[in-house]
Amino acid sequence: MRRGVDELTGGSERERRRRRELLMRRYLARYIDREPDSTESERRPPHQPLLPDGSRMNDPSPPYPEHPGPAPEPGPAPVVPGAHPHGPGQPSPSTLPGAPPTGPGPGRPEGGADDDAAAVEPDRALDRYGTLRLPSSGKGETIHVLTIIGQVEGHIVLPPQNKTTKYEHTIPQLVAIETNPSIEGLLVVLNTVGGDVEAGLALAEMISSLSKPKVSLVVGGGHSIGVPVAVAADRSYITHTATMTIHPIRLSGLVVGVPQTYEYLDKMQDRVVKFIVSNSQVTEEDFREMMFRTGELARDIGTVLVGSDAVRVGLIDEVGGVSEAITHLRGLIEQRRQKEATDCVVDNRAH
Amino acid sequence: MLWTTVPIETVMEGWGKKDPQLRECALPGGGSVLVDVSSGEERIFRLHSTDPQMFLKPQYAPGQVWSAATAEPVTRA
Repeated sequence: MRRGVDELTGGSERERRRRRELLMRRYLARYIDREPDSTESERRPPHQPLLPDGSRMNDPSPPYPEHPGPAPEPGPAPVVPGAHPHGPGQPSPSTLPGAPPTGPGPGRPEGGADDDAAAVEPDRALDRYGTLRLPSSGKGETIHVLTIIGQVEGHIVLPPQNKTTKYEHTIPQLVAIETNPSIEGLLVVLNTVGGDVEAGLALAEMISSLSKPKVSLVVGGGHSIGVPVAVAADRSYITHTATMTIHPIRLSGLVVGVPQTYEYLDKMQDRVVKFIVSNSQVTEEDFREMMFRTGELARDIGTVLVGSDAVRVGLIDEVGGVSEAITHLRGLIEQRRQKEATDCVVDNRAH
Repeated sequence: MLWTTVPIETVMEGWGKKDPQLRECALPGGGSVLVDVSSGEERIFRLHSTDPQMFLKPQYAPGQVWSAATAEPVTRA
């Protein structure tokens, strides 16, 4: 936005007008998925509200095209970033069944004037490198998927029988998602047994502080340190049969005999609890009660929440699967586009 | 500090018995990858780069088989 405003200042009036038109053309090309013409602009103004089914008001076209994207390019299936088996004997990094094509979505601008080339270069790079991208809705948005699987690995490299999510790789991925202009939304899919507290909390803090829309989905299980990661998104979903285990933080299950150690563990636990409480609807009192509940777990104290239980206590926002999560994420992306469009108009008027 | 539902003895089983043997390979244009060669084949262990976009490229994900042929120059967006 700042760059666009800077481009509108300086030079002769004719130059400024030309640059203003160019900027507006770029903006329209990005937000209505194609180079604008007067007919198209009148038919689908960018401020037209989005209906719950994804279509626009008075839009005769179906909400999504029958064929959501171009044919996949030959070559290896795209990799799910963030899901990494560790060591030999493990399968290669996870791939998503029916993984999406890596080419541009239908109607996605392929470039334009020569001076537009720099603006679209990151997008082209993503296409070329085959980074995971969900099938386009035809509206030009790009959603990335981050999987938090197995053990969240921290400062100690875990033995090779563990499947791990490596934070030193996942954290820069989150930075890339924030900085890459062609990525508009993030879906975080969790199936984790927990792991390192510091690493998990770091991931949760990174996800929470992303400016782009993000939605989380718990499938299978989102246990222990997976809980703060799940609640870090703007909206969280859990499938009917997925579970979340809440139990106290301990140091390798041994009896805590030193007061300082106990206080350290207590502080760690407070950090996690505060993050969860401030990013979800659950109260601190309820969460601590679930954490220290007896009679539910065989080997530990704590609580297992199954699907709707997690929603009932306020930990997760809604029961749903991947379609609900994606639909909500697309809605958030559309809201953000409309806000940016409003800001752009205000900026242009100011200059 | 681990917070997990998996028993700690299961998580840490075999810990320290087999350390990865790592080799550092420079990437064209800057950055490097640590490659684990202990299993007989070369698999990426860790990527070192200040360009976050590099971390979105699947060929640099940990666990991927390393091939110098797939290395791409580091480019700043």
